[in-house]
Amino acid sequence: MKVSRIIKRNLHRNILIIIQLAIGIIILVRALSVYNYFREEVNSYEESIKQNVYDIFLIPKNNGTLSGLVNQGDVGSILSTEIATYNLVKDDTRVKVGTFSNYSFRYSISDYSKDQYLKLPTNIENIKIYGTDRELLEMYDNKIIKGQGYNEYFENNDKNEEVIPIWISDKLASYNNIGDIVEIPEFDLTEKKAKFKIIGVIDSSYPTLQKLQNGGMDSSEEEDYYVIADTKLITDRKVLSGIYIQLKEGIDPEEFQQEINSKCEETKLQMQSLESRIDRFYSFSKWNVRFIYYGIIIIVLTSFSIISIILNTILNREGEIGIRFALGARKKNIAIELCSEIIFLLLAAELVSLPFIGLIIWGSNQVIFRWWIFGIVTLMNIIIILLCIIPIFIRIFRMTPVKLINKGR
Amino acid sequence: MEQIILENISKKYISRNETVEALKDITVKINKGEMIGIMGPSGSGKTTLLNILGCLDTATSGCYKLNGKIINETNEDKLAIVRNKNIGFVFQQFALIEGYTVFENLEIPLKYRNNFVKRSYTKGDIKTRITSILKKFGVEDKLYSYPNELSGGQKQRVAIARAMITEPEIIIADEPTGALDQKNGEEVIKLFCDINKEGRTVIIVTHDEKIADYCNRRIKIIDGCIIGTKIQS
Repeated sequence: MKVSRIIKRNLHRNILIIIQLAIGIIILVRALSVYNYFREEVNSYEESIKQNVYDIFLIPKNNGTLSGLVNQGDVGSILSTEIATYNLVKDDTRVKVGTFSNYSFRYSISDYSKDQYLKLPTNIENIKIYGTDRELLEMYDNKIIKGQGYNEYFENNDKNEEVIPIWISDKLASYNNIGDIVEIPEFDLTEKKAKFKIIGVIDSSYPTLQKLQNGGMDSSEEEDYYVIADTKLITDRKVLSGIYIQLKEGIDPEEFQQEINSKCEETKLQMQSLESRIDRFYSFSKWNVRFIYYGIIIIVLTSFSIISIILNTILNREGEIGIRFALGARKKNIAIELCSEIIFLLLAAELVSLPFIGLIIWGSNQVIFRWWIFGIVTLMNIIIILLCIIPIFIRIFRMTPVKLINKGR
Repeated sequence: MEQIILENISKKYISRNETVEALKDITVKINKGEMIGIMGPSGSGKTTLLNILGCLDTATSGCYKLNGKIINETNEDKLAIVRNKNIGFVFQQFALIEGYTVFENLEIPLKYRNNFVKRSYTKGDIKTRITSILKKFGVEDKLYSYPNELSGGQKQRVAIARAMITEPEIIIADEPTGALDQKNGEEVIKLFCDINKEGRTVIIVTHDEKIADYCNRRIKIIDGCIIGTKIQS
């Protein structure tokens, strides 16, 4: 039995089966990829948690805006808010250590009057942490015109090394060289010393204004900026964002919060422990598990469809199978031929699902796809289908050639 | 030379807790190169006999020897090999696989042969063999036609060609002219005569006395028993 011919014979039905199976695969791969995202993120959170670490941020006291501080879409302003937040706590003796984290954007030299800033000086203290928003970094990575991109760099370099990689704009590139270990002005916000290594030059014309708008990034068209990505948090992880503080042992966070708030007129300090964030991730992750169930249900249902097809194939073609027996087929030949049909349907469904999986990976932030996920889904498919076709094989192996041939005569 | 020996063959079926004896203690010997007509009314057991002769079924008791080898103790896989190698089947309703071209229909037994004996036939061999056998049976122009594009006579010629493609020593035909008009029926039976002249054993189940007249020997079967054998000139 030629598979292509069988598929052609039941073309519309087989197309529907392939689509059905592909939907199951896509849903399952997506669900597992999202699940994997949370799993990896939560793992990294858990690994990175230290005692008494809080994500802190300022919100207006009277439902207003933080005038002069917050202006969504303006990265510079968000940074100002962060700096303001940070300044509130940085000199507090109850804070063991504080840090910025995970804003991946280009940062412009703000003081244009000082040309010397174009040449990045050395030995400056800061813990400015610019992190790893994957989408944004990939955007930058796409436009590295000289040196190394983010992924390339971290493939070959230890994330725990002393220097923090940065990329600079092409304007800055005329003053600085790739490989230079530099300091960054304006970021002397902490007690932690950091050295930055210029590892690449970014195309200033990218991202385009449209992309910036879509991405909610700074849309100003600076030519002199640098990008900092990934560095050492107190948690030593890249996934956290915002400003983090670690309170000294024995400090009551609520009292700390109240005391800070009493100092602020327009704003109040919000504190969120990392544990609570992890709980949120977990609850979201549980919600996502539903999709895994949906995917499995679809694949199981599709498997039933496949079984019905194969059963139908056998019932409709009992005569043909009988003729084949008469012509010298063995039962295993028939079984292999029927199996190849199922395998073809499965492979076709997987091929169909691949571009959609690619779209999901490309279009979703909270997705970490790994090939083992695809492998698991494929294996799951195969196992479900094999379990389902066992009765079919039993039927084939119980059929006698004579009964079948009588139908083919 | 006795090619087929059936000794005290019985075949029983159990149907709804009732035992049906389709063949009762039958003994038949068929020589190589004979053309045998098996006749009998419906339900007489001739098809059961044909199935056992064609290794599609096994006897409940008795001994079936083919070319001196005992067949009734052989497992299903080996029976499949025997069918592919030694026996060609022709059925009343042609039994061509719909949706397959004539070429593909003829290709099937050769492909199964390649499963038993690796590379018995190369692609080139298969094409040459199919082309020449279709030419022999006068349907060479139908190589890529589908069964539904053929007339009854052409279908049966193709079916005979398929039965002959592996050059079996025995051809078993079950009512080969039953679905054909008289003219085509006669042409088909002449083909069987030609095949027989090549030295192959031909066993035909038929109701038709005229067809039975072409055979060297007639075996008449009623109620699972052979009630007579007639040797013809």
